[in-house]
Amino acid sequence: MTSKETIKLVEKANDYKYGFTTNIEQEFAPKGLNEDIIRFISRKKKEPKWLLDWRLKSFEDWKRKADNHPTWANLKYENIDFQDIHYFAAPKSENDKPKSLDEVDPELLRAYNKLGIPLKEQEFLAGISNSHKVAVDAVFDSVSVATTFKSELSKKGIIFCSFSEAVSDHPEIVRKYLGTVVPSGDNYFSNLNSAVFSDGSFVYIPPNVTCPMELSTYFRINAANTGQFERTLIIADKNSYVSYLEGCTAPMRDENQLHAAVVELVALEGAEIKYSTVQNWYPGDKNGKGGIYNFVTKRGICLGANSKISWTQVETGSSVTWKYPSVILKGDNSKGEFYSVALSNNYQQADTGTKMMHIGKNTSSRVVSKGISAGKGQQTYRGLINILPSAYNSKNFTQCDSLLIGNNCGAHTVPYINVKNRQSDVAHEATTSKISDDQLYYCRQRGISEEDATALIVNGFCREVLKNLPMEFAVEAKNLLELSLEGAVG
Amino acid sequence: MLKITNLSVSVDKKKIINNLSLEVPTGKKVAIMGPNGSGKSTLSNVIAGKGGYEINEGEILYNNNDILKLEPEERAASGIYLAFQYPVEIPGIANSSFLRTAINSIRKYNGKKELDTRAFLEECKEICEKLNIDKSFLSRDLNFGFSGGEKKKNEIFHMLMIKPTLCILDEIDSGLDIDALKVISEGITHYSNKDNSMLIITHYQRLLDYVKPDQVHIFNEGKIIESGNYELVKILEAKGYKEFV
Amino acid sequence: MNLLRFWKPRDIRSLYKVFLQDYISKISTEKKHLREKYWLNSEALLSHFNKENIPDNKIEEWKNFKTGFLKKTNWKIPELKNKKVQVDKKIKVTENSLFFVHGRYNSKISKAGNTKGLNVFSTYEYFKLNPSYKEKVYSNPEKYMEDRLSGIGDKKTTALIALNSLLNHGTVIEIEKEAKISNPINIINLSIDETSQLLISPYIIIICKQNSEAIFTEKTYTKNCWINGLSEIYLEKNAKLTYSKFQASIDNSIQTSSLNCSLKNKSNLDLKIFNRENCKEDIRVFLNDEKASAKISGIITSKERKESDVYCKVVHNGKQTFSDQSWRLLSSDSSKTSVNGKIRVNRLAKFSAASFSSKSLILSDKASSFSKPELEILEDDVKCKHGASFGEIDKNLLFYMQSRGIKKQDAIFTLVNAFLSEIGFKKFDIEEIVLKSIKEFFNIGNANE
Repeated sequence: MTSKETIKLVEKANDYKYGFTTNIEQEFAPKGLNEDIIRFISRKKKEPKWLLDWRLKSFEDWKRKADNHPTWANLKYENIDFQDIHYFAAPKSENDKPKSLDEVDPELLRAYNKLGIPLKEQEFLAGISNSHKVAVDAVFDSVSVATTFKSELSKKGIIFCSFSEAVSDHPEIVRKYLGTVVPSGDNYFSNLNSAVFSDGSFVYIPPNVTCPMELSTYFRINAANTGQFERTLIIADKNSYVSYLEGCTAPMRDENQLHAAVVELVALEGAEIKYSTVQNWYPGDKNGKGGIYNFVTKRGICLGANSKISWTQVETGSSVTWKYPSVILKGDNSKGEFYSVALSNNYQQADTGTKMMHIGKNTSSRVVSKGISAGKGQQTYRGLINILPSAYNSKNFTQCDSLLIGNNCGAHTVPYINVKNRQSDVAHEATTSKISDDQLYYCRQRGISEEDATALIVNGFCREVLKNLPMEFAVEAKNLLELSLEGAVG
Repeated sequence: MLKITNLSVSVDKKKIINNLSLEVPTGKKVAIMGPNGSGKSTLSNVIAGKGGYEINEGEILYNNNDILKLEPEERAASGIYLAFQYPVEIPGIANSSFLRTAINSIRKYNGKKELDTRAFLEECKEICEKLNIDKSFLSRDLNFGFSGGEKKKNEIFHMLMIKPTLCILDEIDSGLDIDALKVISEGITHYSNKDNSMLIITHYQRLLDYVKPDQVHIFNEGKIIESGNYELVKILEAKGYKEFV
Repeated sequence: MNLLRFWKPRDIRSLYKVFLQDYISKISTEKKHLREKYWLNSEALLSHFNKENIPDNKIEEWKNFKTGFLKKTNWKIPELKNKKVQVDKKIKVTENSLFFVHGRYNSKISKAGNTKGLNVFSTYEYFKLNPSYKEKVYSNPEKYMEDRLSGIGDKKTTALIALNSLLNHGTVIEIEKEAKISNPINIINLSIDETSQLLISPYIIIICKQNSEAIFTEKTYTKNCWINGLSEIYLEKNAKLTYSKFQASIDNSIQTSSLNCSLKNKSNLDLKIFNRENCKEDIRVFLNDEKASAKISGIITSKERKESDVYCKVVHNGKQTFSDQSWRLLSSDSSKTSVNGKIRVNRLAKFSAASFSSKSLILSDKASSFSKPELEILEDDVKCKHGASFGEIDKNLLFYMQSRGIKKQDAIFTLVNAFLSEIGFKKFDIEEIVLKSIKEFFNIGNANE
């Protein structure tokens, strides 16, 4: 392909499908971060005192750290002005929250339809067969606007609602688990989140229940100069199973926007949680202007014996990604998994990976990370495998492969492997390669164009991860990869 | 079908093909034999359109059209097929889905509708049986972890599925045991008819014993030094390349 | 002479200042002039050391090696005058033996005169003879500072290098152009004063000229010392060097050393390291020109409550450069072994290939092992891979051997030996050092036989 064609393609590639904004009446908290704002958010949510106190304590902690922004990651970005952000933005209708979906602002429903997320249950039933039912919790800027299939789920005792509802309806569960997996002081951004989080999703699966459908949350940042700080808490009680999907988009804006979420998963004895993310925040334009700063703390704990937590992520969006979904393997025989595809094109930067803390006996973990760098993208895998002395007979297998497309990008692999138990078996493998000219020539000789051949090879490269996604997501992820890659070939 | 006139090709200023003229008539099987490093593989790559070669002069006409300016995929779509000497491995892509993508790309290029999945799979199975290939071949990753013989069989499998009009077989017989050689030869003979052509590039005569070529050229230092019919193969076998070079 | 008489363990900065300034004033004017013109200025070194100080575990590269002991101890600087040295009979002295006593070359007991193509100089002499080389390599103190004291993106233990450069002028070992020396050249580091706690600073520069070939082995026999070493290896076009560095006997000693290698066109380096408890090795290999290649392999062992740590960074700058690292780690008792292997392929180092592998064997419940294999790839047309694995001795194999009548300890020894032999140390006479130390590990037979 000539360089001219490549340039043309790169220009074309900048079409971010989800870049529209929605005009709906919104209510903002004033810009800036202080105690009053936190009290305001808490009051808005009609929160109990213990939660407000928890927020305020987190804020105190954060203030102490405020100037010590973490710098260890392989990321370059402009300083974030925490006083120039709205910490709360909500569609007006939140004031008197809609009783049913019919009362939801139609503009909002249209917005979600544009994203391809039907919020009306009948649309689900009309369009998709029963076996693929997905219950959705839609989070628009700071608040959850709608949760579908609630009643059907509640018949099985499953609680799936917004975080705020959970605080008022199930305070005992929230209070028992909130901050136990990711303590508020865990890191800079978890601290910030704990102080100002606005909403998010809450899931509780009772003992011996297999959740009959995929649960999912769609996050959307709509308002300008707004940070999104949601918090997700999922508890799978004994011998239960749940598969949870998370998707996200944001409008195209020239300024960078901050997203600092916290996700906590708790798997009790014999329970299994499968958490999948397709992250497609606005990545900024082709010159690196704008885009979401994505600083997320995700962690799960296998609290009981024989439990399992599995993370699958496809990261194609955001201008900066800082994210390490982790598993604490505390229960004996528990399992942790991390499957990741991260793609950085243009000026995107991603520093992502996982931590596997082996504490219990016979614990095992598996890490498969596929990083793709194109354009001027920089990609870092950072992972920690920590086998503590108590983790007898533990196993870990890690594989991280990087693919470079073009020669202005970079791939970095930084695994930390710390083994303190001799009866354990840890193996790490990594490779870095490019799409070879021979592979491309072979495909083209068979009649496949260079663009298609690249997408084909990239998809093959990621297959091990993509196959872990639920069906609907797998297709979306595959298309996203192709979309994000457009123009990367040269 | 294929007409090469006064072709000269070089790589890094080094001349590999030297004023070559060659014709492959429709419905014929033409064999090119030559010692290692004589420029045989370069010739097949230049016809298929691989980058990195400098065409100094001459032309390649395929069905009376000059193809030198076409991209490899355009040549493939117009019916040129190259069975690679060293087929490339692509992990993560199933053999069958690769092949389907290829066939559909070619069909799309020629303004045809996409192939029905069921019909495609039926045909795959049929040809697998013909070539004595296990069905698992289809679901395995493209050439990934294939043995040398399996890769070569796969090249013939692709050929029979894609149904090209000009087949260039680059050392398709290297690294094959007798049984596999027989299967492959039968596949080639079976496919060959009055409407398509074969350009068979090889080092040894064993393949040619099965696939009786209509014309035989002996190739050295980038040009043809001797031409004849099947008899030439026997003479070559008896005397070796030295006699000709 | 106890230069450290002012030492107050808690106040390192001022202390070093006192003794180093005292020391610098004793350097002869002529040599001082040389250092200041062509090398680092001693004041700069001193202020650098004062600023950075002895690294501690706040620095990522030093997380796995404790340095508290270094700071707390009242180290002495060995006297400059040559004492009469008696070489222990246990140490084999061959024809090409270069002795370094307390970090300084001792020509009286060394045997190097008869080998053609091998020359040993003080740096002063060498630069006198090779002014062009001096100009080329050392004429620009800033560049020298840059090359030696900056870690290029890493925290290099520059304070320790500064300390070394202050206390030793260095010795140049030159392999002449076209010389092919097939007998191994032995570098032997000795400490002879066993009672006092000495700070020894060996500084060895090895220059292999065009088309030369040589084999080096470096062995260290010390007691109660801190060896803070610096080695620089320069391979010119087509030069070939095999360099093996072994800790032969490390009674109560601590070692922190830095090894810098710079490779030109088509040169080839085969580096073998045997790193034991209480040793920290910092290796940097720069493949600066086309087709330079380096193979680095090593065994890292540790016992008791001690640590053994290797940092190894390979930087690919030239096209078609090749590197391969392979490490075997063995920890017993409550010890810790660690390796941090970093591969960086810079832009334009096209068609390069790099690999790293480490395998750890943990022999006891309290032992641990750490591996951090890093890749930094900035060029797309390269092949890189790394791998690390951890485990214990295969119980089935052990049982099999025991059931054939082999004693458990012997069986373990055999299996460990097999594990380590994958590295390919066997060719060298040094093998006995490795094996001996492993026998010590398991209390098998007589360690001194």
